[in-house]
Amino acid sequence: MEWGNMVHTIPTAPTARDWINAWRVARSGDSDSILLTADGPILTTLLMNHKTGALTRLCWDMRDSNGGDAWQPSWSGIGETMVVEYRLARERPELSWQLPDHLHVRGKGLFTYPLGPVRADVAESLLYRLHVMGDEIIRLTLQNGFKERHIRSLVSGKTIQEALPVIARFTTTSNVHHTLAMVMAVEEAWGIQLSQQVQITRVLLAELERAYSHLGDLAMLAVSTGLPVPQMEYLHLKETVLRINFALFGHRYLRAAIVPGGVAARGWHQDVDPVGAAGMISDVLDQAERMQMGLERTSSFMDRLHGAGRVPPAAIQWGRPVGPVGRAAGLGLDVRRVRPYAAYSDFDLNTPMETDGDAYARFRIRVEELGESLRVVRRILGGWNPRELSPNQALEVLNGPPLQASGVGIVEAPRGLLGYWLRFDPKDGRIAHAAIATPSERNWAVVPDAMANGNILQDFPIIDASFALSVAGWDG
Amino acid sequence: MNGSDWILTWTVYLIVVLAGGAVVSRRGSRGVHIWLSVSGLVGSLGLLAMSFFLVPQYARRIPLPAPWPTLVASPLPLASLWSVVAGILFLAAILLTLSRRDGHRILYALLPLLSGVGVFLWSGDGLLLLISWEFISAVTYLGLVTTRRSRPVWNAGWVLLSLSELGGMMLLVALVWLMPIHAKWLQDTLAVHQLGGIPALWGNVIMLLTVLAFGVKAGLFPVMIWMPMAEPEAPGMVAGIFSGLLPALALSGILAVEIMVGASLAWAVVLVVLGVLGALSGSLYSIVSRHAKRVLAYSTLEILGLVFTALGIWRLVSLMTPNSVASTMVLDAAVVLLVMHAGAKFVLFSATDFTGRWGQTLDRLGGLVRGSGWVAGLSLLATATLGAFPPLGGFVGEWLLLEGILMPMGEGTGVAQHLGLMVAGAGLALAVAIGVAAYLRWYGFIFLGVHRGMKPVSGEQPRRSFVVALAMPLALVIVAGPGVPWFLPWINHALAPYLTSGSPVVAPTFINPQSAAPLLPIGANLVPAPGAHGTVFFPQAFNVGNPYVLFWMALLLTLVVALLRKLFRRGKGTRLVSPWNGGAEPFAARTSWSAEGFVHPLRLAFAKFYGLSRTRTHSEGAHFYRHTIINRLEEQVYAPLIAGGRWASSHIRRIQSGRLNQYVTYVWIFVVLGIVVGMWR
Amino acid sequence: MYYWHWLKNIVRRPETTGFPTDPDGIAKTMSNSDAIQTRARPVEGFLRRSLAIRHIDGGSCNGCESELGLLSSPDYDLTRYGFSFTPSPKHADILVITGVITDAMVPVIADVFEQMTAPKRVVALGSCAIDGWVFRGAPGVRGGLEGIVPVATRIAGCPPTPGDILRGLLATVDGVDPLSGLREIWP
Repeated sequence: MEWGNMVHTIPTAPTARDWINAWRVARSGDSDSILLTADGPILTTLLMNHKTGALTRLCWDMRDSNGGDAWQPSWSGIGETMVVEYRLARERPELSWQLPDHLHVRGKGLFTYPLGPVRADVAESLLYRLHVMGDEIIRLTLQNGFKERHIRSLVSGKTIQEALPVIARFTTTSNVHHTLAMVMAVEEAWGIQLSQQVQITRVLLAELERAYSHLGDLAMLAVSTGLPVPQMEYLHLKETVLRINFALFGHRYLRAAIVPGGVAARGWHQDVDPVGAAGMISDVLDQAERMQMGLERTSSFMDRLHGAGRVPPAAIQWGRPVGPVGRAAGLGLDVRRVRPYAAYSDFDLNTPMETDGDAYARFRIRVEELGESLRVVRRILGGWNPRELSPNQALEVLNGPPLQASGVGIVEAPRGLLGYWLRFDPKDGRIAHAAIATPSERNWAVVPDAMANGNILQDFPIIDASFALSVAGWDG
Repeated sequence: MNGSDWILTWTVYLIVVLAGGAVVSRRGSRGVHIWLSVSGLVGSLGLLAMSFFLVPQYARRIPLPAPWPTLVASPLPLASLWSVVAGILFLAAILLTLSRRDGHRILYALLPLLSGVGVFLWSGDGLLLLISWEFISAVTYLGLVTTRRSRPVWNAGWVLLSLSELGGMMLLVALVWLMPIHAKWLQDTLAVHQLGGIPALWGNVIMLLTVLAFGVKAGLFPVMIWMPMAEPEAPGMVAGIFSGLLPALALSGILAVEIMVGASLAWAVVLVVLGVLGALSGSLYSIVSRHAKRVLAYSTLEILGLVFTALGIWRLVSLMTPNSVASTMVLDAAVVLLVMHAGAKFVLFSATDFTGRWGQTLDRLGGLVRGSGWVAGLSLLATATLGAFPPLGGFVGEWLLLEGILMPMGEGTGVAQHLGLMVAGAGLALAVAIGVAAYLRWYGFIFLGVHRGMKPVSGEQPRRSFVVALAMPLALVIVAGPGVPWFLPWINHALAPYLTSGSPVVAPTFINPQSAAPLLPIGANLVPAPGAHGTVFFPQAFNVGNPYVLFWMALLLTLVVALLRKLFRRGKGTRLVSPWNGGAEPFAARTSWSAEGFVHPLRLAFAKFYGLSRTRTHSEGAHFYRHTIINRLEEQVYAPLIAGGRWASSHIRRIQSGRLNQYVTYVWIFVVLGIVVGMWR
Repeated sequence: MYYWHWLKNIVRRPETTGFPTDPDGIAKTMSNSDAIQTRARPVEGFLRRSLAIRHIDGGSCNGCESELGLLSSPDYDLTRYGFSFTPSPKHADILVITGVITDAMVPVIADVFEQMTAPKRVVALGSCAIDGWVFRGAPGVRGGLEGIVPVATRIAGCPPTPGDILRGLLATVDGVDPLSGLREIWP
């Protein structure tokens, strides 16, 4: 199995214990686990240095174990990959992956408040079990899996062209980033070079997605505090951005705009007006800034957010949340800066950071990222001409065998770090194995700890909205 | 039959019952049970019959051979009322013991108590009061410890005995103090009279001692501590009698001494303070208790706190503004509360004998209305009474009490009294409000909702005699509630020597204003009688001040809704689906509101008072959470006393068991001390 | 500060589109003209215009949820037709189901439909709920509501635009697509 140039591979560990120990050592330094996957008999973790962006691969081949005590994979207790560990234990019984005993919660008069899978007005299916004492949340247990679509196994064996529509429906509100990460892995494997115009267009697409996603999350946060007016304003701004998306790229959610080797120009409208769109983006930016100022002057909003759902320091260390959740809690990882992709190295992005880790910090991060995204979009649209994009030549190449057997794509999706590692069939280039690490599945792990951190039942919707995680990203 | 005949009768009754029991016991416990039940029936009917004789004209002297002084058998204040109450409660208790295997043991303790009550009601004289009260104390102890044999029972028994003895000694001191003056007066008349020539300070001290002495039995803060310890351990009917009857008797005892001494303002203030503290702490501990009987035991303290406050305010108001009708109202309130509490609490305590089949902690109960609709229904009536639901007794009592606090505030009292009444009123209102929540919690988590225990709720019907026994004491609730228009004039007549105001207090309902003038309805002009100007039925000036209006309105609206449903219902009736629980998690006890959860906000609000702390232990693969609260009185007042006593006794034992060095050291210390004192003198 | 907008909107027209009952160029461009198929029949006095909607996610990619959420936005404002979202199925008249319908959600959907009081109608929202779309054949994916609940209306699209969702909801009540005035029934 070949890896991209940027991947530094540590020699295969002789035993599972060595493998996990090496993993722990690497993680205790500057590295974070990005993904963990079992590709047939090979267990692989990918770690990324959160300062330099360098990748490290650690793997262990189950076939190397020649009896004895060699095979002892067990719960490694590394929060970033916990969801995957559970999945491995469930789906790959032959690995005999051991999980820690699930702790029950009992107590005098403690009772469970079940919420979901059918809950709220419009929400994704997830069962929250809030163990409460009166109003006080003692513990939260989450049960997912109601909407498991098995995308990872579904795309295995498919060609790139067949797999792309499925990947684009992993999480629609991050579909540009999912497609982008997959396409980056493909381009790495086939060694496809891209023009600067294409790269900038990809940044435009990514930041448009971040903008409408954050606007939707802010609308949810506003209504969770009982403020329908800002909710309506934010929803209107989201709809405005979605309409700009449609005007520029022919799809409200920018689906199928990114393809291997370029961007899909075919579905675009002929009468695209980037300058007019830039003007509208300016308006959205002004409105969003005004909304933020208004909300920060609304005491009923601020009172509910301050100190609500603070992620405990232990959970930050253990779970290493990514994206706005991580940046609100003092973890400054931003893939766009650490490991620039597309044309991000041309943009001097301002990554906001907060250290409180509460709902208000997450709100601050979101509004500032929103402003930054909209500014980047405006800047790109100012000098962007879709007609200059050269026709995409790369699609034919994909029918042939890849130059290297696997590729990695790591991007900063609206909810945080999104990693794809794809292994291709060396003969016909079909996808042989897909390892996908979504930010939601990683961040959900710290939600229970943040929820059971001195909050009461009435804080629940606010904390839930402030995390703004998707269940589709967990139940892929 | 006159007083001395009755005392003789009760003495003979006790001897015959016990001797008969001893004789029959050779035939086995079943025979004893029958013998004691029949005797109990006779005794209860005797108590009911005695109520006709408890008037001053039957008072008699009982000469005893020298050197004993002459005893005087004269009725205590309100004796005939308590005689009826006691008769009903004992009758119900005897019915309840029929279905119990250990019924004869309970009866062995109850019947001496019955005869003791019979004698006590005649003890208008100090010596007889002391003797019969001591007897009742001893029998209470026996009633507690003979039925169960567990550590908590013995502990509670010891606490009860030691506090009772403390009270007995206080009563002895008080009476010995009174004796020289008292004896002189008794020569002239058999009725109790106010004694002259007692300095105010003495009077206060005597009254304080008396109140503490009777307060031990009556649940006065802070000597009531045996109650929440003992009552959960005693069988339901015994706890019911302890909780319902003993306080009533104690009130009469206090009143009897009070009229001789004529207590002053200081005593009244102390009583109000203790009463409010007792009511507040009682209701606060009641609502956080887990044990079904302990909730009731603490709520007893709440009601008795109200009674003692009423007593204090009665004295306060009758000294400050003697013409105010408020003093009459609060004294009536005390009696009404005691009567309704005797009935209602007896029912609830007895109901816990039935619910005890499923468990005693609220977390293990629930949904028992499916177990027995009758028990649930009768308990609901009792709960509604205690929760002051109009028009039942608790409502009348609390209304009279709060009205009696509010009324003198408009009648030119001083600033200090005004403030004091305000604080007392606020404290009582808070206690009563928390009390209502506690009763709701008790009833709701036992009888309604889903069942939480292991043992399934099948239709385990109690015996018919059990239901009848539960229904009987509710007569008291009715008397104190809807029957209050007839009850109040009777009380006021019986308490005539204690009333300073000439105005009668008449309850508004069922009384035609024209025929009963001059009257002063409850709530003065706040609450006009139906038919008077200004009520909701005659809205010259709209006013919903009449509390019964709410009741009738609720009834009317319920009927209207039922009628509308009947008229406009379409289709084939109601389709039953399971409660909505999110779609995946089945609806079960685990996902429904718990009694602890219900009270948790209040527990947080009073966290300082409770000394709330949360512990998390890890055992058997689970995090186990619990919240601990401190019972301040037990742990911060009594525990150090007990610890001190224990330390002293163990020290003395060690010295006496041969530790020569220590012994000699102590001897030397005392010798040196003696020398020092001697030289100093 | 927010109340300023209420005042402002009195002077300036609100942002709300008239679509689908009134023409609106942008909303029509975004919408998919043959998205709506309905079997619902209009029944006099049966479903009147104050309808509560309960939504269930049967395994979606959250695109349909995003568009459903935008129905409350001032641009679409579903309340102008009397629709509203409700958290409890016991209050619901219309059940909107999105996603591929996973096996895990089948009993939940059946339970929710059971909890709803009659009259009630079901809308399959999005191409996934109609036939599983690109996820057809994935393990644990039903790909459709046949045999679980009776579907009154299908709204195709990935995701359907808010305008199309409104059309579908109106078609569920009236039995015809408000845009074309036609009633299309799937085989």
